Amino acid sequence: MAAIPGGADHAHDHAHDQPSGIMRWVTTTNHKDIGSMYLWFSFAMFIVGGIMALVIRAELFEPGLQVVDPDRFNQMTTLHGLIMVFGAIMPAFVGFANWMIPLMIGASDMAFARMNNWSFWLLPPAAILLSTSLLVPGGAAASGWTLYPPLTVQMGMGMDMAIFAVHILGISSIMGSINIVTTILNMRAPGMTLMKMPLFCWTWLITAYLVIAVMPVLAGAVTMILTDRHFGTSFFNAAGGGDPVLYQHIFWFFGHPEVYIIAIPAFGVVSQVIPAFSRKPLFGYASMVYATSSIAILSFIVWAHHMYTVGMPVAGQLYFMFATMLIAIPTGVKVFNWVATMWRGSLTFETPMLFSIGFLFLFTLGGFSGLVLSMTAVDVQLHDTYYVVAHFHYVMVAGALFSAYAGAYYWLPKWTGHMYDEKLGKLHFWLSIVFFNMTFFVQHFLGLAGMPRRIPDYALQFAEFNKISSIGAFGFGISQLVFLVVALKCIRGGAKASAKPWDGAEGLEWTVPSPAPHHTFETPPVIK
Amino acid sequence: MNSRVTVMDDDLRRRNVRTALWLAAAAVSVFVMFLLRYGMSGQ
Amino acid sequence: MGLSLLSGLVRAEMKFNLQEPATELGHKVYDLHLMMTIVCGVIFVAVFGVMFWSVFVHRKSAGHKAATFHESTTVEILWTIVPVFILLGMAWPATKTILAMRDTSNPDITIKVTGYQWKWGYDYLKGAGEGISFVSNLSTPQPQIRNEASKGGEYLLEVDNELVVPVGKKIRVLTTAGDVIHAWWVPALAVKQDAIPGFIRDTWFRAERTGTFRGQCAELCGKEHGYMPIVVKVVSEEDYAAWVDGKKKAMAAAADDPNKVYALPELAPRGEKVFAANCAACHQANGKGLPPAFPPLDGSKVVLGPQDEQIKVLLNGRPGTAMASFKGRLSDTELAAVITYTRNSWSNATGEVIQPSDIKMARE
Repeated sequence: MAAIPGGADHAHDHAHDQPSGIMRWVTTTNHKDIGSMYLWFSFAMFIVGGIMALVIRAELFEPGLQVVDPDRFNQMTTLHGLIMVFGAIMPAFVGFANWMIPLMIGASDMAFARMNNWSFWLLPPAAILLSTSLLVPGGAAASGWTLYPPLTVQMGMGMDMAIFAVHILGISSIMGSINIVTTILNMRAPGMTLMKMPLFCWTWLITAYLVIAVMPVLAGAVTMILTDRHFGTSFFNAAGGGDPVLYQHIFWFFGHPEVYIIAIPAFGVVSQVIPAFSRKPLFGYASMVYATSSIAILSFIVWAHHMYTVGMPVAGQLYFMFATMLIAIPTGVKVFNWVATMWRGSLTFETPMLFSIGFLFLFTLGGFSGLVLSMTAVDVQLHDTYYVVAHFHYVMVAGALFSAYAGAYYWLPKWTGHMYDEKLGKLHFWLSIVFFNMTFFVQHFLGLAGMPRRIPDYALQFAEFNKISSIGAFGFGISQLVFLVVALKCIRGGAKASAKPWDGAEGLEWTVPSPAPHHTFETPPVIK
Repeated sequence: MNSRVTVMDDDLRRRNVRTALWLAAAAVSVFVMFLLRYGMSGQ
Repeated sequence: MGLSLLSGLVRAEMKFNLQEPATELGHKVYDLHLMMTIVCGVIFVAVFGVMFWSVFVHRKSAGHKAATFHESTTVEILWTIVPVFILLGMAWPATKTILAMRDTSNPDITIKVTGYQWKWGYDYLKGAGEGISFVSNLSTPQPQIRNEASKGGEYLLEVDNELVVPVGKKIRVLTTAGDVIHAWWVPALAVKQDAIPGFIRDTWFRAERTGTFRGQCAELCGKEHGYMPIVVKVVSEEDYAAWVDGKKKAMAAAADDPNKVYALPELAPRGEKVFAANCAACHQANGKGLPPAFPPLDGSKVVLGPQDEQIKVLLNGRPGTAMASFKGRLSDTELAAVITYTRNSWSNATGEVIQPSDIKMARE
């Protein structure tokens, strides 16, 4: 498979004809360069979205209006959501995929190197559209990241900019996914069967199929909003014979798989890290693959659990409740497998492992609050409250973000050729986990007590918990700069990393030197 | 665009393109089914 | 900052659970949530007990050597099957609660709730109090929100006209909306139902004790989403009968003669009240608006132009913008008053008086 005739000869022909400086990055088709750009881009977006979160928390520090007016507040919640989901977390994992998948399966690069370049360079224009929409008359979209009509129809041109940004980001992620699927299916080194692939590749294969299946649906939904806004259609306008709830069905048919598009690569990273620091193979590899696939399939048939209060028939509520509860089973299998991997291992607790354990612990907590929310009667009470906000931040931040950090610390030596500062890494972890819980754990209580989400001001009985949450949020935000320091220090120098700096790590990526040379596996390795 | 694209034999290249076309066709057909379902429903 | 946090903790009547329910269904939901939390908590402690045991015992620094096992079909089947039974145990009470929640048959009183940006309209459609209709606005004064006055105890959860219902009666609530989606939510009564423009949905409650129960709009509906509370006053049957009586008399007294011809000094003050309740949130009390989303009325071409145009805008709204239709929300007299007010306030001085009969004609 993937034999490259006379690979070595060809490789040297081109070794020195690269442009340098900025043009190197603009024109690069190298999966490692593009992976790095994805990671830097997502970190930049993470900071931008994080600043918006801090504006929100500053406004909510005390009752009354202090920092922003309600309209600006709604713009902040909307852009925070869109930027974090489409700008930060998704590109972060695409960055991991670009860097690591070819290294893990023994391929020389991604299948479509030029398309890879294009997938990345679509992101900055979308990011610029989203962020500059704050400056246009009327401000940015202020309808929540879910963009429910008819509210979206009332917005100014900021809304159109958000819609175009979503279109561009959608095209980018579809191209990225096509590239990933093709690479995994066709470019594996001889002997690397599907069931021998590292689990990270499996999770991305499944995720990429999800992206291809649901991104066009989102594109369709926002296009319908666009035509409702400007071309007189009434898809979602009851007065014209449309139905506002139709949008919610379409959106969540995309939106629920989207949750797993974010979570499944996170599962993949953690499944690489935990065995490495347990010095023991991943428990139940095959059942992990099957569990991940079942989660992906189930994610298509549970969407209306986001809409228990729209007034669907009781049979619908029952069906969506049962289907949602089913997801707990494969998710449980994964958690049990990770714990069993650690069981009777020989554990050490470097930063990647700490973030993985943090992930395991807090993601499971988010899973349990999800199970509580799956109960229709309970959800009717908690829907659109801070309980939901707490729930999905446990899954998105403690789940996806912590896993991304675990992966970053795990592979930084491979990327840079240096060991990162372990002390600072551990500091980053402990600050993050303390402030994360301070920010979000109390939000469960706020939701239970009856505080709706997306409000700029609140009744006095919510004051104490909001204050705690806001202090936690600022602590969490500042702690993330520690990571920036660690990453920059690691790029500039530090102890030399060997080809395999983690003694328990397995996989082809550890057979190439650190830092990984610009071109790897031009002659495919043979896997026995 | 940079000329430095990894070398690949023609057979693999063709196979990659075929896979990608299938996937792209899947994405486009989701979108088209969508338009047929909602775009033609008398709006 | 630390000190204020501490004092906050001391003052705290912090709540860690759902609000004390005031309906039978509310108790069911409360118990269901508690049961779920406990079951999840037990599983959580068990799983992470195992994990932390491993973290403390199976560490390399303690000299633990790694085992090599990596699968066990028995264990894997076991931890797939056992959760299925736990979930079935949870699904049973959950299903029963949903079926009870959705049974809106045989109500004693039916009330239609209409969400507007940003207030609630209530119409008693059937049962005792039939025919009563009013609008309920936030009554917290602006200076409290802008931190220019100290905040009252029911800050943001107080309204000018409360929804009044009798205790022990099944109240069916029909929800709909005039502009965007809202959601009518009163936590203690365990009801939350989206109010969707163009559609009618329903829910119900039967309060088992008297008292005042407060909630808020739960679906993002624009700028003032956080400022449209719901207050339900549950009273004894006698008190309810008295309230219905009083409310009906007040409505009859306030009813306008649609054929009356008004003079400017009579109509403008009335218009100012209508403006404050319906228009000021966007167009602002000083008529300057919040451009570009909410245009100014002071010096506006529409307000200073032909009357018919302005009447049309108020009756039909401006589709695609935040300007809603007030056709069903304001009476002829109220519309005439508010248009008269805008045409003769701030720097606008047309001197024109719009009569209710003008509105009536435009409606036809």
